Amino acid sequence: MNDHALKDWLLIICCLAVSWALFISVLLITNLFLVFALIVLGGVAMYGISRREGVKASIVQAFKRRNRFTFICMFIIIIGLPFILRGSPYWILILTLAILWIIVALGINIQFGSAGIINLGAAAFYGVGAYTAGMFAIKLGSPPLFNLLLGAVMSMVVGSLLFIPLLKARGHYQALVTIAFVMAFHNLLNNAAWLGGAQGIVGIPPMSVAGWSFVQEIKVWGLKLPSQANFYYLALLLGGLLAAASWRLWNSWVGLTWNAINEGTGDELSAKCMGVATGKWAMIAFTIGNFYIGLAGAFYSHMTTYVSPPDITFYQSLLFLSAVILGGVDSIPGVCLAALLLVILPEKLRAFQQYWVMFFGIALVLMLILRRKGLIPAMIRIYTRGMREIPESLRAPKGSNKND
Amino acid sequence: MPDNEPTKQLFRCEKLTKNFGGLKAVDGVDLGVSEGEILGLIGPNGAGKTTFFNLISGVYPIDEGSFFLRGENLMGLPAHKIKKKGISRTFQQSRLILNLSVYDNLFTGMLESFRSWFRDSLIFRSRFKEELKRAIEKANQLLSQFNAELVGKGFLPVSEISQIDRRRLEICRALATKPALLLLDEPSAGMSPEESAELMLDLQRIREKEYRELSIILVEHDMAVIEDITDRVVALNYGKKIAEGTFEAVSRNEELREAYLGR
Amino acid sequence: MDTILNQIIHGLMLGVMYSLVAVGFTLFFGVLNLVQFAHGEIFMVGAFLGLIILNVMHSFLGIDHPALLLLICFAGSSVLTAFLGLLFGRVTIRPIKDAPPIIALLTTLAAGISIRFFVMAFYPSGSQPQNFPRYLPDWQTEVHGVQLRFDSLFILVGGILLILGTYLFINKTRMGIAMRAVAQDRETASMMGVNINRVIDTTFVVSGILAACAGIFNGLYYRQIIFDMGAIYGVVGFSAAVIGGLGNIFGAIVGGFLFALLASFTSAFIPGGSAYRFVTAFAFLILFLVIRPKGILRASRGKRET
Repeated sequence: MNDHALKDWLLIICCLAVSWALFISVLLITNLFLVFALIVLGGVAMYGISRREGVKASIVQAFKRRNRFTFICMFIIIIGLPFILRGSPYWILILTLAILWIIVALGINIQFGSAGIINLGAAAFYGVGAYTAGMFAIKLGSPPLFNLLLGAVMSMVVGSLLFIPLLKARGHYQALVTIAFVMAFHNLLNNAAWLGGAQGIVGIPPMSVAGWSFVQEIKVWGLKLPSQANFYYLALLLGGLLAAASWRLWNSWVGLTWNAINEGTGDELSAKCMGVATGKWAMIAFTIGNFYIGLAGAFYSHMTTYVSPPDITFYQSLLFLSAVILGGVDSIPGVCLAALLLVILPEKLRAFQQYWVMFFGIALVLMLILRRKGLIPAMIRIYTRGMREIPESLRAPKGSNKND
Repeated sequence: MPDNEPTKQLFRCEKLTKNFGGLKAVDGVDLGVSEGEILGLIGPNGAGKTTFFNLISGVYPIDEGSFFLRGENLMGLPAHKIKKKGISRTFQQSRLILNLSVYDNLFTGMLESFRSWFRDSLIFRSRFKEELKRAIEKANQLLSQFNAELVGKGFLPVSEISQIDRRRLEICRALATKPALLLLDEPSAGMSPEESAELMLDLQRIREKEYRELSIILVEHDMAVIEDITDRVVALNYGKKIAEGTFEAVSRNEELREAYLGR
Repeated sequence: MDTILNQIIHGLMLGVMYSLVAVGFTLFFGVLNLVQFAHGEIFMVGAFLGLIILNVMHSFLGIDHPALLLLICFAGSSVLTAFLGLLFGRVTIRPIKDAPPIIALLTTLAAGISIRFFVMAFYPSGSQPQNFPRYLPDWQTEVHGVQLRFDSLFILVGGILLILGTYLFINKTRMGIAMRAVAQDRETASMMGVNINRVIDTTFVVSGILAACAGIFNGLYYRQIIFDMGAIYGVVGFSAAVIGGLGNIFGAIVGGFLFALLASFTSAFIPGGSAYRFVTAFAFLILFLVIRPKGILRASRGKRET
């Protein structure tokens, strides 16, 4: 047994080390040709491994068996990233933004991925969170953590305005309602003087938690981490909590109920016929999703110290939604990966800024036509880790009732 | 099995009517079902059988008439409330969730009875895990009544099991909701006569063992099945009830023969 | 401050353009149960193609006569846009025609974005507004305090003719009847011998022509076009079609005019209203969807079990 464990651990450490090294190099190397070459190399290596059944099997087995170990390794790496990237505060900032996007994507995954409510107005709720937190910080000087919570709650409250339209309008019409909402909201933001008009809200006081100001560097073990690391760690904490919540909700009756009322993949009618109060659960999904989105927005405005209408558009909503589509509908790992890519790729490909949106649109179209399941398709729900074992002991009672 | 003692009437409907813009899909139908009875509902295509099901399961609103379960008037109730009262159904076209597992589909039938929701799912999950275990046991029990193999397929996505197994699963799911009255809408549609017979045998056997008081209204086109399983038969044509009684009596009905075979 | 009548004229004109796009949306939904979110971009492409044709004919071929230029512009752009629409249908819609409708909605949305930014990236100085030459006579008169410009009348009349033409096509030609059959019941229609793919193609062609003309009208009226002009037209067109009842051509026209007049009036009569005109219009739309989701005139299709 011990041999096995050691072998597994070594395998896992190797794989993780290589992939993370690749990831960090891709981030830090500025020469795009080199980056491209690295990615291709990585792809070829992965393809090569997947062809050799023996190696592939051992790797897959190792990861399956040593869940806890993998988690610990990933945890260490993710916590350690700012240390490795301490020379490039810019990338720490981008990674923090990626975490915010992951939070938004998780929210939309609850609304659309699980429950099938198409929310093309997500940017509006992001904006509500951002503006609320900003306004309260400026006008009342309230503590940032409180503002974050307030922003999230405000999003939920504003979202409730759409309850009736969303319940009454189905399918395409639901999409239209949310689009109309975000466009109207954008129009409002642009023109409302009390919300800063076209300039938005500027000068949000720098964030500080319990006296620790977020604009100072962190000194640990003789190393100096740039101030961006503060935001990174807080975002990581919040994101981690929300992701864990998402995962647990998915692996529970709540997640199942949402799947059941999903008109696209499930069937609302039979859910009703089985006693599910479909309207109530749809609105619960919508509201919880908005909490996620609003929280991320509030964090964003505190991080950048300003927020303005150009951040809140229908196009932004589409970007958010596409994280779920590209990543894999109702797939938490998929959605996280896609959100990460959607933040990092445009930054990396800044030189092609002109063409980025076009390529993104084409990628979406191709994904929808060719690989609807997404990058990491949703898995079968097994609720808890020990479940696979149970069917063995609960097999058909002794003596089948069937007489053949 | 015909009883000579009066059995309690579970379900009754009176003058049930549904209009679709001038077309009376269901026209003044009266019928009753006793506890533990299997009632066959037959009639040519378009006779209004599925519409009838849709009316008494709360899918369509009723235009005229009403229906009673255990004497309680259920008219006007939405589908999920009717389920709570004790009427469950299957559908002509499979309405299983294909990308979810067999267990998940069964669990959707049991959702109503579950007690661990947010509080028991987020931090301390022991109560949820207990409930989950019991749910899996219940699911296995239901599945094994049809086919022992199905139990092992609990975590497979429904898209990967055979059509017959899907039918069985749908009936299991309906049974999981613990109904007093079960509406089966052409459960053996698309199956060969052998598969159909097998399914019906299973159904009968399950009922004998576990669900003695369960009443069933069965819509079927396969007359062999109707003859075999049902206690009584009601025939519809153009939305109206045209015959009622035992299979032998009803099958001799002139109007029905014409409706099926033409003049 | 314009008089009410002037606002009405402006609103009517806007209404024509919105309607032309809305009719396209309603055709897509009625015949194919598809929300074609890229239709706004087809409108934009039509305008750009028109601009290209005008410039080419004027600069390279030295053609100067306005009427001739406009004729070739409209005809040429219509043909090209119809063809591009056809291509679009074949490439993106056919593969997903049996998937749940939400997939089509998202696909067309994404495709629309691709087209929009393709134009931005590849048209010379694509991110800037492009000047649309003025070929319509400057003629205008005043009747009872109402300003009537030639271009307003031209657009109004042109739009009405186009819509009339579409109506006749749908109701009087064999292909039109085929389209209506597919709208009612795709399966039966195909069993009756209707070529579904042909119908899909025709829908794209007809909507393409209408959108292209609307795009050119837009260019002629505002004297400039820009790569994202399709964005708002897409949403507005869809909203108008929804208000009128998806699948109902007459409803789409009514919806288009209603939307335009609402936006116009808010712009003119509520102080500072111009900025908020879309807020009002969309708030109205949402309210409308709550109260009467099926549209003013006709119920749209839905699943039904008998």
